[in-house]
Amino acid sequence: MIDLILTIIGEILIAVGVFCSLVASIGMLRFPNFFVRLHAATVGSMGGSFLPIIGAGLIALGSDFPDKWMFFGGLIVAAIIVMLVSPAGSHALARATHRARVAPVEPKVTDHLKEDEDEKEGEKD
Amino acid sequence: MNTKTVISLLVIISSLLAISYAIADQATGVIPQTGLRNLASFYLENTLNPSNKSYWTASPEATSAIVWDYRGFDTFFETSVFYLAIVGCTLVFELYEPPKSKTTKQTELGLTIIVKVITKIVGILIVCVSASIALHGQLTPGGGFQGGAALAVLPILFIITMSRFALDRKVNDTSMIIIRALGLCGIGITVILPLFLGFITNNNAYIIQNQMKPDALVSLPSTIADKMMGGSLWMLNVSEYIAVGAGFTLAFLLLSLPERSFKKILEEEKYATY
Amino acid sequence: MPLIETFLAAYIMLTSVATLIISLYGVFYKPHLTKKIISITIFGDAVNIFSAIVGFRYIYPVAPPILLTENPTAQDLTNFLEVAVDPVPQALVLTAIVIGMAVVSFMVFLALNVFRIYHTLDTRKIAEQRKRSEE
Repeated sequence: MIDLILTIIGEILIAVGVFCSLVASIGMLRFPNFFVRLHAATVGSMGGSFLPIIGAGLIALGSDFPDKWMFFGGLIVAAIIVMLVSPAGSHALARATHRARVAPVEPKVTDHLKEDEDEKEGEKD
Repeated sequence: MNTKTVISLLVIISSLLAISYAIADQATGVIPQTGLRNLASFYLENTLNPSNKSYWTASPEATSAIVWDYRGFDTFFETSVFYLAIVGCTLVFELYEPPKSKTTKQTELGLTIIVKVITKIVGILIVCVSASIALHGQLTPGGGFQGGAALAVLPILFIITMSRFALDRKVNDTSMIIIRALGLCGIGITVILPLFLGFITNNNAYIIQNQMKPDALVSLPSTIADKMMGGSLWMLNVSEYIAVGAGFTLAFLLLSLPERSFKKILEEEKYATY
Repeated sequence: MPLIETFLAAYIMLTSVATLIISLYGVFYKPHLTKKIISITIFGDAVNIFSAIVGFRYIYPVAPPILLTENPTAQDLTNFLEVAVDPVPQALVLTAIVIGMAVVSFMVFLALNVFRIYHTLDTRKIAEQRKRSEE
């Protein structure tokens, strides 16, 4: 019984991952500028790879595999690494792009980061 | 068309013909095969065979058994090729002044604090995962080189997020060379260990011997505390893990040297005389 | 073997041989050193994939060459021999990957030093500069 539940939860997670990957690829193609596209890419890496990895681990746990706990542990560690690294990576990308001023920040209400950087440069001069 | 072009064309066409002929003539056997070759069935049958221990390796993973036991000499020289490549890299980059950072503040170096904290957390995970890959080399896919290559992701991450100068405070070239030499010494000791055992117990023994053979009754312990260790396999894997991890770290430390530590020397040596 | 499988095997062979030849073309005819290094890595990868295919077995329950029991009986070993793939090409690929890695890292270091001296990696420009410096 518990095996069946684990397998079904894993399959649902993989299906959600497929959906997220599709949405992320459409967003990458259709969104207007760099920062919004970065949002789509992060949806792709969090929804499209973090959730399916957990789902695969649950499916491995639900099957009658030999050494299934080893597979589950490895997949959970991989999922944790993806979960930690992908937001930090897109943060670093966004920050570098903003500092290099190569992409327009749109849509925006106000840009405090740019004001701060301008102040700092003014102090240096 | 000069001579060089003609020779290159000849080389390309002749290699195409040779590979095509080899495949069509089935020099590699039918591809994809359905049976097993004799050599493969010998290895698969003997790698963990408790009923016939004359050629066994005490490791359930046939690929690791081939890499470090049946064909140990291949891997020994492969390790020396890697060692010599890193030695060559250090020799090519020998002439440099140790760079100094322009600022001493940790916060001004590298990326933002978010990325730095994440790098530290992920660094611990990377060390755990790579050690697990190396230590389970005799049970699951993996081994020393794979674990060392996974460990080498850590210095790259540190160099990118915290800059080279932050990494310089923890490790430097000399310490990496020493750690790598320790790993290689581990391989050397494991290779010679059967000879000592044979000398003590007055038996025949071979270099890189793992388990006892019909004419050499010396064997390293195949299980430690009821865990399968595969005799010499785990020692070789751990040594290779240390050596490869330190070697890659050394290569990345050299690759991330700032250009200003080379330019002065290159001008002094008058390499650039054009 | 049925027709579709023969076709698939021929397709895999053709693509790997084509990759080999294209990477050789890159090594010989591309003037930029970085592209030559990339071509050499592609050459090594194509050879590795080819060897992995040589070791593959076209049967249905196919397994990696790893025993899953710690104390196998004779029956276990017979079953293992029926499903496991050939481990020898895998071990050779492992060795080849390490040596390829070592060679590529050495080439990258040399190319970096060439760039420091000549400020370019284009072999034609390097030859020009050398000719000029000899005069």
